[in-house]
Amino acid sequence: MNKTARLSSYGLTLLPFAVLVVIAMILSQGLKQHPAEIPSPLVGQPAPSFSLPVIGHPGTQVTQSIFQNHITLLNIWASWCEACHAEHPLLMQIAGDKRFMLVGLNYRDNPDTASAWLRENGNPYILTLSDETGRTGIDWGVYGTPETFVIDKKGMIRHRQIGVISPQIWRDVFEPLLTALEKEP
Amino acid sequence: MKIAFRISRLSPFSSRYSTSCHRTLGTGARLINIFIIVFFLLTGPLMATSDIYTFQTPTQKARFEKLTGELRCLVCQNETLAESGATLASDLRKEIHNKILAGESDSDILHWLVIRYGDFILYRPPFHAATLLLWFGPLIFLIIGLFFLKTHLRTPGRPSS
Repeated sequence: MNKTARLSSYGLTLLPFAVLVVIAMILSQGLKQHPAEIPSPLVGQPAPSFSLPVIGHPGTQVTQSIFQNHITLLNIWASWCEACHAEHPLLMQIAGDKRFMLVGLNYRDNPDTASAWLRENGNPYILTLSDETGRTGIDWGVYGTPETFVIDKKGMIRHRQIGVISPQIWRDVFEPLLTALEKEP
Repeated sequence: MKIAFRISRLSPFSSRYSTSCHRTLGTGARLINIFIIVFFLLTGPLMATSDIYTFQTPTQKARFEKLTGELRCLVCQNETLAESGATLASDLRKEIHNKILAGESDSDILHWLVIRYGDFILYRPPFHAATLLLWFGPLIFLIIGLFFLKTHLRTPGRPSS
């Protein structure tokens, strides 16, 4: 076999390995993903409309118009949700942040139980909406608690966070987003 | 214990043979295996039986079963809405039931769900630009593989050139 033929036959032998390496690289990227956290199709859309009572203020009805003219963080939570309890200290910390309004959506919960829980453990929310049937949650594509939506000053959904907001997630995801959204009109 | 003899080619392209003997199953064991397989096939599709839905026509019921069997439960993501015991699955089954009774079409119902939950709720990935690779990828790989097989296969008895 002459030199060219030998080189090309080595090349052909190595080709399956090269393909394997490329596939392995693609799959290892896949391992870093979180397939259980599905992206929300609502990002970039206006906040779905709703009309819900406010916990602690019987007879009131609040709609999606409360999202206008300021940034809102809508936190979906329930008194029965263990992970929400884990997130609670961070929510208490960010509650005073003047850049946004922290609104709670109490999902599939008893309003009295929720109210009592907030009284005992501290209430980080400006107000908490009561979604007892979970119908509003379905409209927002909620599939687990906690979830947090970031809504801009025009009432458009800009981000959905699945699961507990850790300090790291707050720092790496929310802070840059808030800085960018603040600059918007 | 029964013993069977087997004579087989070493590879589909080879003219060399091997002989081997191995243990095989007697009639009794074979019958038990068949019974086990048939038993599991007969247990049928799993259904969450805690809620009962009534329909006006058998078609509506069939549509409900088909839809809930083809939609993913997002809480227990390896189960369908039909099987899952999760609260959200129960809520969504109720929604689908109400929508069928209200006369909405299958595509309306699926569209309603996809707006809220995205394509992931469908077990059948939709066919558009983003999913072309998903649909055609295996076929493309198969064609590439067959091409390589054809051009680099040696016929038996002939040394490679």
